[in-house]
Parts: sequence; structure tokens; C-alpha cells
Amino acid sequence: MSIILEARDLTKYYGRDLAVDNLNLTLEKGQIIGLLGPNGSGKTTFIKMINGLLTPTSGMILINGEKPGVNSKKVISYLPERCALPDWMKVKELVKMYGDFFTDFSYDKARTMLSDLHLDENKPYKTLSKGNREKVQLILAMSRQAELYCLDEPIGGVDPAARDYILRTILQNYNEEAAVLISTHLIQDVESTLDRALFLKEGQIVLNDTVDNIREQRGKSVDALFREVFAC
Amino acid sequence: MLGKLFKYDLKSLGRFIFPLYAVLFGSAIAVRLFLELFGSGADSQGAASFVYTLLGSVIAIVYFLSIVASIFGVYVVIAINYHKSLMSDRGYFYLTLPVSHDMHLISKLLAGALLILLSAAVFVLSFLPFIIGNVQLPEILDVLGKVWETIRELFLSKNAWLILTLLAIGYLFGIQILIFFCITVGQLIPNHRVLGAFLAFIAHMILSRSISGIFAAAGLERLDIEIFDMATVGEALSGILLRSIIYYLIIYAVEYVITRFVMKHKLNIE
Repeated sequence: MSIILEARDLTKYYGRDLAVDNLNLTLEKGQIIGLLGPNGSGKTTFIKMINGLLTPTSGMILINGEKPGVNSKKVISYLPERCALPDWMKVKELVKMYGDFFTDFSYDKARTMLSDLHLDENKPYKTLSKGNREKVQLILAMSRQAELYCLDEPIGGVDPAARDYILRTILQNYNEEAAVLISTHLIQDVESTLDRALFLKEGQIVLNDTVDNIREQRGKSVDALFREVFAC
Repeated sequence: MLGKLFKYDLKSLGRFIFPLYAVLFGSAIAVRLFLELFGSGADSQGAASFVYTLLGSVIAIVYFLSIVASIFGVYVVIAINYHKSLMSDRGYFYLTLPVSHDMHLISKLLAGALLILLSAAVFVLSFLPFIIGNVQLPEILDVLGKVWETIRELFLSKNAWLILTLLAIGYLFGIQILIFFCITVGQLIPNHRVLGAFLAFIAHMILSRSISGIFAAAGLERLDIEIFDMATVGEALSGILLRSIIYYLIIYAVEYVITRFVMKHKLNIE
């Protein structure tokens, strides 16, 4: 499997606060990876650096062998943890905008998902509930045929019924040519979807293993191991 | 991609500005109608006089405010759009589009320039309801011609078209670049971004005013007071104006480069 993402000695400070500490990591295509850690462990900071929204203090991050830039943005589909779309547009206008900017965007996939989740394309985005806005954002991100999906808290704000649908969608989109990086606290919900788990603690990777290995060698679920590692 | 970005930037800016133009034209027409219909209201007594005065004042205030808003409001809208699109929540979307930072900046500059131009045109056109029927076109052209002659004699006796072209570039793009520069540099100070933007603006003002003052002083010093005729003064002022504009354009170019550098290498959006 080919490498889609590589972090070398990646470090990020906010003022004097260390958010990501000398992180070294490679991610291969064909996997769904859970980026797991408590609040303030550096998950969002790491994802923002992958997407070129934050500049590392030192070290580097490479996507398909290149630093974050125009080429990396062509192959990464990013779902931020906040509502980032222009809220004055209608849902159908947002769909059109995604199609305008991303050549790998599928209108059919987006419309099918909007219909499945009973989201009205003619409604202005700002009139939707917070949960529905998150669903629209996720639908748009997942309607791309990207090589790396970076999903920051994709199911945090949605109802349990929609969570199942979203996780099924992620699984359907998964292929040998793509990697999915999911950052979440809801480990129980995503555990069955994951191939690999990364535990991030105080900006450092404390575990990087396949879910199968965790279950077989440690005899624990990812959720149980998480509670053990991050026990307060 | 530039065309697509431009389209969405124009939509984003236009949703605030275009309704303002409608209010400006509407209030201009209302003022003219009021004057036509109730112009003699000033002669009326008591309650009627009060109503005429109140109504006339409200319409005039709306007209005045919409003039101010369409001239200056466009810069406020440009600043808000830039901050929201690239330095705040929406930056999480726009900055992950597969386009370069230059393209973002150029698209915003072009969309903003178009609206600044439109605002100026709309401001001038808003006088039409007052002019139509009252003043003849040749009279207007005559007045404008005289104003132009005076300006040309005083400030544009040499290099008139060069000065006008550079002035137009500065007018359409300069203030926008300054706005982008201040907001972008401001985000380098976490938790104090507004203060950072304000400090960047102060730095710009001190630098630009002090050096343009030196240019003006040097230009005036060369002016021979002994031969104080219009042609000599005009020539000297043209020179000072040209040097000042070029100087400001250099400052704006440097600020564009700094803005681009910060976006590319120091970006830390909220």
C-alpha cells in the first residue's frame, strides 16, 4: 500500500503551549484510521496542519510526498469540526459550489445522501439545525472521490440514527486508493469501522496499532483500552 | 479557478452592497418626489407643517446615510468578507480549496475593485433624480469641463494620464490591500487579533505619512517662489502628486507581499 501522509518531527506550539510534540507518523492508503485522544490532545491541531490551516512550528508534513498546498488540497477532503460553509447560501448552491471547485465531486452521490437524510436542497443553510448543518457538511465532504478524508468529529453533533448512516457512508466510500482519518471521542460508535487506531496524548502518539492487533494481543476493545490509557 | 472564486466573492460582497444601492436610488427618488409634491408645504401651518418637516427630514437623512454607506460601507463589507472568508470560520472551507493564496487575494481584490467602482458610479447616478428636468446636460458638461480644467492646471499639468491611471489603481486596489494587510498581520497575535490589525494600521499610517511628508517638503523646496505663476505651481504639484502616488503604490505592493507571505508561511486561523 502506498503512503498518503507522512509527518516528520512535527511540532506545534501556541505561544508557550505545546500542542503537537515531535510527531512522527506515516499513513497508508486503504485504511480507516481513528485519531483518538482526550480534549486538548492535539487532534484538531494535527488535522489543521494536514490541511494547511496551521503552520508547524518545526518539522514537516507531507501528503503524497508534497507539503500542504494546492496539490494536497486536490486530494484531501476535509470536514472541519465547526460549520465552515457560507451560511447565506442554499444547500443546492453549496452543492454547486463544491462541484465548481472540486473535480472529484459527485453531484449524484451528494443528492442521494441529502435525500436519504431528508435534507431539503432548497433550504438556506443557516435555517438548518446545527445537526443538519453538520450532516450537509459531511455529505459534501464524502461526495468527493478523494485520496485522504480528514474528518474532525464527523458524528459528534448528529443523532444516533444518522450516525449509523454516516458510518455506513464512510465504509462505502472506503477503497484501496483512499485513507480515512477520523478524529472522534465517540469510540464505541466508530470502533467497528476502524482498521487502525492512533492514540494521541499531550501531542504525542502513544499508540499506533491495528484494531485487530489491539483486540487479539491485548484482549481488549479499542474503547476499553482508551479508557485505560486516558484514565483520569 | 480565478473566475469561480471571483463569482463567489462577488456574490458574497454583493448581497450587502446591492440592496444598499437600491435604498440609495429609492431615497433619491423619494427626495425628488417629496420636493415636487410637497415643496410648497413650507408655507403650511401647524400640524401639516410639522408632518412635512418630519417626513422631509426622514427621507433626507435616509438619502444622506445611504450615500455615506455606499461610499464607505463598501470598505467595511470588503473587510468583513475578507476576515470571515479567510481568517475565521469560513477559512476552514475557502483555504482548503485547491487554489493558491495569490488567487484568493487577487479574486478578492478584483471583486472589491468592481464594487468600489460601482459604488462611485451609483453615487454619481443618484443625483440623476434631482438633475432630470432641472438642469440641461450641456450645462452639466460645461461645469464638469471647468472643474476638470482647474484640476488639470493645478495638479495634472504634466503626465496627466499617467497620474490618473496610477491614481485609479491606488483607489481601486490600495485601500483593499491595506485592509487585507492589517487583518492578516493582526492574526499573528493570538487572542489579540483586532489589536494586532489596529497596530498594523498605525504602523502603515506612521510610515506612509512621514515619508510622503518628506517627498512633499522636498518637492516644495525646489519650487521657485520668485516665479510664482500657475504653470510653475502646476508643474511642481504634478511632480509631488506623481511621486506620492508612486510611493503609496510601492507601500501597497510591499503590504501585498507581506500579506501573501503571512498567509503562506504563518497562517494560524482561529
